[in-house]
Amino acid sequence: MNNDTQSKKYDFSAYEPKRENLVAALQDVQDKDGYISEDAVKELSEYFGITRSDIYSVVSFYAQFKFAKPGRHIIKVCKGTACHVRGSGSLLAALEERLGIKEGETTPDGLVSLERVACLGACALAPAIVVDDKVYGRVSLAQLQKILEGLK
Amino acid sequence: MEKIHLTIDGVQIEANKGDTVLQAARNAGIFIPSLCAHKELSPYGACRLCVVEIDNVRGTPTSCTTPAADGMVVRTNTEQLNTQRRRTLELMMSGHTSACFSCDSREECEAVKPTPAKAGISTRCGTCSNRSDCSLRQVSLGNFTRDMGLPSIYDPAKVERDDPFIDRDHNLCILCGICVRTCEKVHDGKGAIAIANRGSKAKISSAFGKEWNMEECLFCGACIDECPTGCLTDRWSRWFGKEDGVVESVCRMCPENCKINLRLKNGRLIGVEKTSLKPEDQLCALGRFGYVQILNSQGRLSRHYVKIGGEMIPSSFEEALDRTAEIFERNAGKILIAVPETSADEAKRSAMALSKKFNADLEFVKFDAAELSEESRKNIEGKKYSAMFVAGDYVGEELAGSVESFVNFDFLRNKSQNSADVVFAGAFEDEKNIVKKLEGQEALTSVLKALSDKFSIEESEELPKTREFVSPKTSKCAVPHAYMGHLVADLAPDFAAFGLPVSKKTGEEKAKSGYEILESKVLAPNFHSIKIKAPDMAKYAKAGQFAILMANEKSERSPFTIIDWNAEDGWVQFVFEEVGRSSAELGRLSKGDFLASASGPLGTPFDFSNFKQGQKVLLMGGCYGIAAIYPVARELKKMGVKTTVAIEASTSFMLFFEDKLKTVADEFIVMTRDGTKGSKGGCSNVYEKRGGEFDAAIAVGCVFMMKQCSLFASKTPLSLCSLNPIMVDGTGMCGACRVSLDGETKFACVDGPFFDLGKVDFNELAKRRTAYSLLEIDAMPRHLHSGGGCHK
Repeated sequence: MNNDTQSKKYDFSAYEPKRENLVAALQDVQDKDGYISEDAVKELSEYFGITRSDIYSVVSFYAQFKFAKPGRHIIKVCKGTACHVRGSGSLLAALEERLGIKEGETTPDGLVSLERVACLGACALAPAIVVDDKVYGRVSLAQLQKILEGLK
Repeated sequence: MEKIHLTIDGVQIEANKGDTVLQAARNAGIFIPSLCAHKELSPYGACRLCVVEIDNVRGTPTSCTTPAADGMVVRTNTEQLNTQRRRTLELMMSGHTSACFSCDSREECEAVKPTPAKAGISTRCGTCSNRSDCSLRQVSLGNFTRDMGLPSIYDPAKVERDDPFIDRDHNLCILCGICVRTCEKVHDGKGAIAIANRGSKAKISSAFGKEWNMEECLFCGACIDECPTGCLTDRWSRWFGKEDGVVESVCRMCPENCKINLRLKNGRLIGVEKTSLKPEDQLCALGRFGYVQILNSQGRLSRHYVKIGGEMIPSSFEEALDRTAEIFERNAGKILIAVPETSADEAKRSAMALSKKFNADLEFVKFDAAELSEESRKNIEGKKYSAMFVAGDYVGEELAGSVESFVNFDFLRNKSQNSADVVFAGAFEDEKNIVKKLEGQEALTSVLKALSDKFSIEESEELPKTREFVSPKTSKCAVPHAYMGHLVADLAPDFAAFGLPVSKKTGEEKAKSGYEILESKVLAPNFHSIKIKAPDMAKYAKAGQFAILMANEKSERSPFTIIDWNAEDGWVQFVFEEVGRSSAELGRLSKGDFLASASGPLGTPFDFSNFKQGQKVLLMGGCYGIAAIYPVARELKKMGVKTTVAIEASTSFMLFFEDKLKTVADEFIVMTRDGTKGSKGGCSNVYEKRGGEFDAAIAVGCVFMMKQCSLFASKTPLSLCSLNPIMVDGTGMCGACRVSLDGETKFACVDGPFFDLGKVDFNELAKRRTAYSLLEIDAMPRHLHSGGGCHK
């Protein structure tokens, strides 16, 4: 297992080592790393005196926390009602096929993560996707290809 | 203690202040169903079965989390509460393998099959090792109605068997959290498992969902002992079922000497359990899982031996004792006595007294050593001794043979016994004291005590100081490698996963030549299909015949129906259910592997001369019979017979072959015992209702299914079944497969397998099939052969 002598990567000193502060500390870790790593859980476990399995239980409960390092670009496909009706399902399927990954995964080269979201609030633009922070509306399969080609 | 008074179901009761409503009710003898409440764990409120109504309290609170208060008025048994409980159970059952609960024939079926089938995977109570001891079953039998309105959910990926000792099947988990709370309690807040994820994906898991052996889990087994369902099971002992007695004892595998409870069944040790959930009473993996496996290992000595005229002759204890005494007297001053340091104090005292009296060297062998100390070995090689008394497997044959006289005590056979003059068996046939019989080291005390008594020596008072040691309770790495000189992982191979050394690989060997497997598929949980290359068999096979298969050279010979074949391409297909060792071995073979042996076609082919074009025939198949009915249906269909094929399975996810059967059926009927697909019930219901429409009926399935169908045999002019008794040679020589038809004895292998459905004595058949049930448990493949290491 991990070497105990290795220096600590995280600083949780802003928090009292109490159970109720665990989620806030986890959010800090995710802000810093983009995900919750095994090393982070180990340090959290030592700092808060909560077992690793217990922390894993908390992290896995919330959809907000991720266990894998996200890609450099994040594509979010809207699966809200309007987008669903306007065919966002086939957009997601096309993305899965072209990227070779499933929803919730990241390409092996670390370039793209694919996620689905419940509603972007851009129903008039259905079907909509968000790449990093840019919203694309009325996306066609041809357009999708262009968007993918533009990612580096 | 301060008392309070409350009314439960109209009865005035007294309770201790601080009790929950559930505790108060139970203390007063009022039953409230519950699954997650545990008397040694704190309230949890997960299962929602202990709901009650309380005056002036809104809703239906769980009684396990509600503190009892003075003057409370509680109702536990109203119509609304019972409906609510049923709905809760229904939700649990939907995600549990629950077909047996919904089955209308459960009681009759369980009378024919009193113990669950030793299936690879639990798909219902009938194949669940926990059936005799299941809390969910107990609660449900009183509360659950047989009509479940929800589909049954099953995921084969939820079966986890990668860890040593523990099998996990999350399909059976009800998320009561008892294992998690137990783990936390016995490890003082440092549990290894928790409930991960959420909603339908929630599951008991170690950190990051890894194998437990890679994580903090110490394999103390506490979670298994408390699991109310068959989710967590002890792979080695699970099929023995519930114990019929518990005896307190002490584990002597290391100097920690933990208190243990021995679980016994029919006088046999079937498991070891901790004595309570207190952290100080927890056990290590060796005590919990190793002890029982080691004491049950093959090669146990049950008799003493004395060498007479160069041969080892089974002898009485007195004879062995006399010879040993003689050896001690003759060799005084040149004797080595070696006994394990974990021996009982009395044994050590006797050994010290003997050593003093005969001026013998005495070694208390380190508890985890596989051989004597270097000093002792040097002394033996230096010819210091002319006699040795060694308790355990510490010296090899050669070293033992290098002294004039050698006395060995062991609970197992060992090589040094080949050079021995006397061998004491570490198992006394003392019927009165079952524990003594089980524990080799108790027997050692008796031997040494009897010896010192013989010379009437005073026992020494003081004992040698115990060495410092790391308790195996605290780390997997501290589990001793050896017990009485035998390598632990040789006797209980799962310990190899902790990185413990083994002297020989005990893994099962796959055949290297024979009949090549061309295709291997899982059709449904426990149901496998294999296609093998067997040109001769394919050339001569006819519908209704079977073949005897052996996965490897050491497998049992078992008969399997030939399902499909192709003479041109030279292949034959079989479908079988995993219900014990032989079928499990077959199930593990994959494409490219070989069957050691396949002899067939055997049996009398199905007689099609009784059938004519235009006739109507009902073909009924259950479980493996779903496949076995196929070749007969295909032939009949070819002849122009109108075929109605009815198949039954316990539940929707156990059905297979539907598309294939539809091609040979003019009418196709699906029955499930829990009603989750097709109609609710079995093939016998179809036969009963519509039997009159047909010229003939053919039933193939388990004994119970065919027995049920046999009740309606008179509905059709011709009725047949295919029997599956225990078989050895399959050619009419051994007689194991005898069956009774109206009092007449027939051999299923040559006279059958097809017989007149109405004439078969199914009760006798069911009984004969269980003749070897205990031996079948012993033969089950129960070890894991993965590598690994201990993790601190």
